[in-house]
Amino acid sequence: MKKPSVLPSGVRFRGEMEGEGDLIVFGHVDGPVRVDGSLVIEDGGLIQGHVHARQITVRGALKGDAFADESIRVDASGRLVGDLTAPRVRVTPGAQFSGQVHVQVLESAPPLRTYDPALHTFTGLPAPEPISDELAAGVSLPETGSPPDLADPRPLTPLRERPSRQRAPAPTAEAEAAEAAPDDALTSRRTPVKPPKRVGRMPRIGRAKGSHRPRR
Amino acid sequence: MGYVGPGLVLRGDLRGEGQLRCDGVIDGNVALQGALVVGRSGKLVGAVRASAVAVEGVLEGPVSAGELNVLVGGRLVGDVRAARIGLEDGGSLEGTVDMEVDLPEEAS
Repeated sequence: MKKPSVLPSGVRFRGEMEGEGDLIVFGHVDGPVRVDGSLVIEDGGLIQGHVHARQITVRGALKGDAFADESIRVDASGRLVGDLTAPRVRVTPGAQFSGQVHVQVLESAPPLRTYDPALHTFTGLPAPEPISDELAAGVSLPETGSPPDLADPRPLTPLRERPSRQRAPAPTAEAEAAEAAPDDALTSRRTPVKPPKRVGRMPRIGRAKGSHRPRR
Repeated sequence: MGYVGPGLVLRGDLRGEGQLRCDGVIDGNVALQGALVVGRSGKLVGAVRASAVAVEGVLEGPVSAGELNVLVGGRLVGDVRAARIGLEDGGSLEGTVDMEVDLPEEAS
């Protein structure tokens, strides 16, 4: 099996993640995620954006809608604001969850692709609201001194101007403030589970599909 | 250690601490308090700032690092500012290198 991708704690990514394989998130993702394997948001991890994967496990925090081709599992430590859509959904008592549940087969790939990093919105779905202090508390990055600043001390000259490609806006004051929170959640972090066995390929992203039926 | 597997594409900016290995694609800037490795199958397009950078794949963009190593098969296109630079035979570097050079007094 392919080695899963890992976003470690202490790392923050702003933008979209998409592709093959499994992904384990200990850090902070600000944007949509789509992988054709399993996605695990570990305790202490945070994704602010809609997510789509074959299987999704939430032990950390998710602010955004979750779509899974097979199953969604929210463990007791999970905190989730958004809607869940999957053929099988399991929410463990103790989890904090606010949103709708749709136990159904995904008829087509949700429109996560139409994410605009500049505007930080999705055209297909309403954009997740900014992270509240409540949600951010305990899932924020640990204080590790100031991270290296791309604009300091000497600005790096871009290789070439790419006017057609827009970058995510610089972190807002609120987002920065949300980062500077205690790291108590990190101390209780669990070891990552082994991603579930792959059972075949997910249809290509962006194409309508109806072949995925829940296995009974 | 952070890992971007082959087939995974990140579009956006990544920042933080710790090591990161990229065997997939990162289209955006990376700022790390730690080492960055662009693996054989990896590609990174964007500005990089890290304590150490090793390039076995493709890196397109300016690099600012304590130490930079372009290894066999590695290709770096961009200007470099680093305290230490290593370029292996079989690696390629296209860009300007900016480094402190202590010349003997007679030369200055």
